[in-house]
Amino acid sequence: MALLQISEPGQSADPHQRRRAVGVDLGTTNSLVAVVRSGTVDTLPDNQGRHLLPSVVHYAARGEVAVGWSAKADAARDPVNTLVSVKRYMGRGQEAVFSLGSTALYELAPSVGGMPRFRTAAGDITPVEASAEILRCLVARAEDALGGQVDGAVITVPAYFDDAQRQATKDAATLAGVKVLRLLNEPTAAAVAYGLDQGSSGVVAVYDLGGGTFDISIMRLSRGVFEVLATGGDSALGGDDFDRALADLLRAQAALPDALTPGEQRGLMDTACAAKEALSECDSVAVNVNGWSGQIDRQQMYAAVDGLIDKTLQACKRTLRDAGIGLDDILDVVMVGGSTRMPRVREKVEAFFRCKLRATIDPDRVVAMGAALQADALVGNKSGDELLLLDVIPLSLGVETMGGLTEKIIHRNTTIPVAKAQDFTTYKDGQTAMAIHVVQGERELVGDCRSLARFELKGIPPMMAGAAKVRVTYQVDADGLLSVTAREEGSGVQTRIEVKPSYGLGDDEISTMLQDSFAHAKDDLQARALRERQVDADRLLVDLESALAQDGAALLNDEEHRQLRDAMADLVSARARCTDHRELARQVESLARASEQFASLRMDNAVRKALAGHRLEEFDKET
Amino acid sequence: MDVSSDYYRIFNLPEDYQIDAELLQQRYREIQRECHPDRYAGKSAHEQRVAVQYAAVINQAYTVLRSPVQRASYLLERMGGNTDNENTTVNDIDFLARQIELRERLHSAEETTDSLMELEALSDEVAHEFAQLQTLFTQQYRNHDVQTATHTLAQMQFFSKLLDQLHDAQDAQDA
Repeated sequence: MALLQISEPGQSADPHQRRRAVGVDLGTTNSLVAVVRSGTVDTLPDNQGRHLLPSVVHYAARGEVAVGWSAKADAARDPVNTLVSVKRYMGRGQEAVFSLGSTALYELAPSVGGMPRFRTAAGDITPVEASAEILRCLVARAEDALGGQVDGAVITVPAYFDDAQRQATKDAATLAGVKVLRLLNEPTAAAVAYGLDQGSSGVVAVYDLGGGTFDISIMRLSRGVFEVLATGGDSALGGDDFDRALADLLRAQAALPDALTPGEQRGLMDTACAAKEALSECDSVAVNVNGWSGQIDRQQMYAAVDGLIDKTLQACKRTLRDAGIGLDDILDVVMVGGSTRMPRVREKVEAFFRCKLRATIDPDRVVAMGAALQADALVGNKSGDELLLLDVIPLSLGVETMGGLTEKIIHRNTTIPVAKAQDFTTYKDGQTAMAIHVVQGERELVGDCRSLARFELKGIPPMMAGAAKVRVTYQVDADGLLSVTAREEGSGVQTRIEVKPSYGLGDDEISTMLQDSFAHAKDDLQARALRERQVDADRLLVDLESALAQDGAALLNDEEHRQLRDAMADLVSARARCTDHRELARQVESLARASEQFASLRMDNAVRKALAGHRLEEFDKET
Repeated sequence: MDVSSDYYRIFNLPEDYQIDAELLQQRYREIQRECHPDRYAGKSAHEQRVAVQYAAVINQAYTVLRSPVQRASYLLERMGGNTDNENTTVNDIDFLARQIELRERLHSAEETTDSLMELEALSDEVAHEFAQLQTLFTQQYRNHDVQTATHTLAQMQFFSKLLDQLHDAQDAQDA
């Protein structure tokens, strides 16, 4: 969704201009931005030299928003207006706030689009909006450093994020006006940063324990190719939970009452976090909570957190089995995420995998760095050996069938992009609509899976029961995002789909949010939309021009060539004429359709070329 | 799309049940290098869309050819066999008895805690029989013996499903 892509027409079409691309690690506790400059990748510090940006947003009355360190300083003083760890609620319903025990900290407003909204002095705020603030802050930092507008960003997500969580992340970028080049899985990003593909090829494990999420990915590497074999984890398990376990320990030790004020609760969590960090260095630590003072030692902490670490190791075991990989096949274990600093975590992971851990790059910064490398490659700054990242879908996609059961359509750990088609028929004479409920998860019962969306297929031509055949195609793109299309096969009628995401925002709601924010007047949005469609038109024309120069003569006959030229001329005149962005969008789409056949022919050609290259190599070997 | 109809042609491999897995993997990567949507990140939305569709077909082709059961099923379909028919094993009394026996052993292992060893031994046994069926299928397929090959495929499907269930049972014991 390029709603806010605001590069000037023509500007981005210049192939010689180096494009500005960033990698963003939008973390639960801290976020970072990294860029590649003069061939070197690094995270960017703020004006005080700090690379980490705490993922904390403070909302004051009069709509003032503070992000990062200053907001974090407000957390204990003004907890209700300070949103912390919002990543945990991305793409989740209100019940997530309850189940994560954060109700003590926040006031909740009635939800919108199934999403929780936190009541703050600056109004009701969704996790998506808070994440957008963090993104804005990071992109501004990058623009200062790069001296100009950012063309696009690779934003990382936990590999175990489901569709709703990924979509929420993308929505946050849209709200922040950031063009998403790709959503990249955090473990894959880390592997890229380590350049693991450059060494001897083999299988590695990436153990990524962040502030609020845990991922384990098993991948096979060889020069430039990162092929994820299986991924597993828990998108609600991280350092935060270690803090919470320690906080519970302190609460018991200090005999604190069950009901604490939000300020006391925040203070307790901060004390727990500090104690955890101190115990990484020494055997015991002095603690003061609400007037109680005492000692906590390592053994006590182990007793509190070992169960959580074991939970991550169970996930490792399952994922290895899913990948069909034995422990002996693992060459390397890469440690990622701030929580892997805990010596206890390293000790237990090392004992489990029985091999040396790799942790030479700062575990907080490695993910953003990998994302920046990928971003740089995606905008075409890097030539030569391209990266190829083959990722998988972490959780199965299915539909609800009779009796509330799940029928799996796309199984977990299937390489993406992937598309699967499924045929449905009508069960009543004259039936013109049907409802489809898409879920994600491994469980048998629909109620135990995550509800992603409900679709209503309308406009099926009335026929006898069972005569209509509606083919529904589920497609998951390289970002791990699902889209659904449907067609009535018999009559060829394209059925209309109404998507109602179970959590998250519809396109309309995003537009409304953008219009609501006082920074974007309505006229401004219209003008911006038109400018974006003009950029789309220019890009399409430039692409087609170069495609024709390259392959036109070989792949098209004169008639086809002429038709495509005519269609291009139509768009050129529409580009000059149109003042309505919707009209121009239709014209762009029309040329896109007219050139589809040519695009397919080129793709076929690319496949043949890839194979031809291979045959040559083999031939060389033989001689 | 020109390449989509024939998975073997996509990878330029001879159409047979025995497949050079190494070569398949190598060619898969070469082709994805050209077709993966990431190669089109800077291109128009429409070229990206085509790339996603292509990459999806290539992934699907790779998945089918890599999987012993799906590959067998795909080959039989191309020979005009009917692979949907789950009843082809109904008349095979020996196989039915074997199914019941294996299911019961799985079941009792599931019921008892601490039966990881038993589950692993059972997995090895099933995997061994599965490999034998693959050899059998190769011969039948090469002889164009669609009917017996279909029967063998049905047995392979059973063993493959059982392996998945054993896999799940092992997960359950771990948890």
